[in-house]
Amino acid sequence: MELTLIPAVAVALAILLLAAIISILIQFEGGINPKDDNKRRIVFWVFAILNPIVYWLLAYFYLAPDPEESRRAYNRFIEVIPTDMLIGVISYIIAGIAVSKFAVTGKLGHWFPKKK
Amino acid sequence: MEEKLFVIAIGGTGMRCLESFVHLCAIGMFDNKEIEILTLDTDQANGNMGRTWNLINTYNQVKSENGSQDGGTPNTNTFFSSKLNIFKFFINYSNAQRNTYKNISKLGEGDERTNRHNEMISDLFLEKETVQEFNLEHGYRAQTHLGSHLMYHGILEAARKIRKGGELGKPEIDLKEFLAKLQSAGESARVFVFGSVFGGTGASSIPIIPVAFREAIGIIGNDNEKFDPKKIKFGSTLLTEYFSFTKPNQNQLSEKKNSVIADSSFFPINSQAALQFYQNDPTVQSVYNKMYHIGWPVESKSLLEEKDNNTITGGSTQKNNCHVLELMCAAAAFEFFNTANYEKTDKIEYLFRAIKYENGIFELTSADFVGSEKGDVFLNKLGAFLSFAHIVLSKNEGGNGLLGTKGFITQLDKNNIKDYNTITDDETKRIDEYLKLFAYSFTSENLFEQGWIYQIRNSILPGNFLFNKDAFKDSLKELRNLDVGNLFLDNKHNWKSSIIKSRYDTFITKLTKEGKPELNQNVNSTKEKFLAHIHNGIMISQNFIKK
Repeated sequence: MELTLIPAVAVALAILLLAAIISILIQFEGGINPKDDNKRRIVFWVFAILNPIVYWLLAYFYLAPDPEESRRAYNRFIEVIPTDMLIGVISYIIAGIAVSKFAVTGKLGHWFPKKK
Repeated sequence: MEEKLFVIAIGGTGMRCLESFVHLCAIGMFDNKEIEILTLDTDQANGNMGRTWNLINTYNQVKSENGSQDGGTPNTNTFFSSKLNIFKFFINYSNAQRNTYKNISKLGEGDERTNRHNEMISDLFLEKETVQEFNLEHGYRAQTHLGSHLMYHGILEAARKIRKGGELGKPEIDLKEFLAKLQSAGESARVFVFGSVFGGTGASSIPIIPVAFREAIGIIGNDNEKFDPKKIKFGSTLLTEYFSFTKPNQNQLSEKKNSVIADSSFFPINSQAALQFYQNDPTVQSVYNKMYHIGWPVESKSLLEEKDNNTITGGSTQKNNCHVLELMCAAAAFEFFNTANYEKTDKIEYLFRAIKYENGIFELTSADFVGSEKGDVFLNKLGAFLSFAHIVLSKNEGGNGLLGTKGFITQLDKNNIKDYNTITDDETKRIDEYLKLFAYSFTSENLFEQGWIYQIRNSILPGNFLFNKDAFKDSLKELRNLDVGNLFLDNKHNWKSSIIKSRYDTFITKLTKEGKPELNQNVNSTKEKFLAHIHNGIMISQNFIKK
């Protein structure tokens, strides 16, 4: 399990980095009702959904051991993928909250804004 | 001894110089100063005067706490950093018994012998059918000999009314308060007078103002406490002709009330005569310390857009666009107020500065306005305020009728800077209003209207005015997409950008991280803190002073 957990967290962090870059690329809008903060939040949650999908595709087609070599190892790997996906999502959200709180007055602060 | 600053603006041109002066106060050129301003005119409905009053009123509303009209307090190193106190005095010629020289002088109301003597002496100096009988409501119409006499008389008449007591009008109350402040400042006063030397009211008044005030203070109060203009530092502009307007036509001149109308083709001669006068007049020589000779070396542009063929003599329709020379006059006041302590001498100093003019265009630099030592300070502050105006009016569409400042506060709120959420919509509207007067606005029909800085820049075209041409866009679409951090000619002062961050994004990042108001800025109210915060963020982004 430990061996599969590391790639799950790594994928989550890579996807978080991508979400951060795209969020930073969204420019501040002017006017009384700017929508840029909403766009950044949408980016964050879209990538939160993409994260397990990307990990599943990666795990299933690239990381999984060859079943012809060891059916048992393969079954064990497939068995833990949902848990890894869940851990990946949780890591993504926790890291996202941490980044957002750290950059509270920046664009990434829009992921989890302070309550009024 | 802390010096007290006084500004006196006289006539239409004086009002426009004052307009430029107020904008210099708004950009922060007169940090931590309280300035007493007196506007002096004869034309109560004058459009230029109304515009200047509105400007100062808006300035004070921006500085006042919500619901108050006190004009706030002086601050340091921020926008709107000076406190302005406005006093309005005008001589009322609207009444039929006082609307001509003849009526005011009551020629023909004494006994026969007195009448004859009065008429003879009047006829000797003032042309009978025209100068003695034209309507004074729109000022002295370039008749400076008459104007000086009547302005002096008007001030003394008001002083007598004040001394007599009883119910006073607002102009007399304002004059009384202004003179009291001047008297109490005594030798610590520095007084700068704005007005032209080629027109009517300003040209008439500049020579007589110090003496008229001395006499008025003498009449109002105790003679022992008389104010002595010879001991006070007086400065003024010697502003010669720089604009023209439609020549009066015969139809207009045939009306009795319009028997005299200023003709701008005589302005160069008026200017020449005035300069000779200022060179030789012993009273002027003894009371003024510094005179700033400011003129326009090429053919004057017509600043008026008259819809008919008549000359606009005054009134609410006289709302001329601002000109770069008026900013020069305001810069002269800056020099006058900022010259280190010096002793008043008997000798008047005439000052001027030459600017570069090549191939039919002016190449102005910031040093041309305020000298090389302060040139960068001026450019930094003016650029910062122009960027602020574009943030509110262009980026947040305040120029197009939306709540621009409110939009910016919303943006800060979304960036978790919630310190300014208590600023009311009404207060943000006042800031928008001021910035529209400074830069531009769109009418309800979406027509572009130039504000002060656009007009100043327009007056010098095709020459350059300190900033790149993008800073002066005038279409709604272009303004919406304007890069507000890219206004300077020298790219090193434009806000930084990167592959992933625009200039504006970098500015917001700097603003949120580094721009918080500091104690030494003396800002107290939430609004003052907000203005100081934006000021600091822009200043850091402009990179004039390394932090």
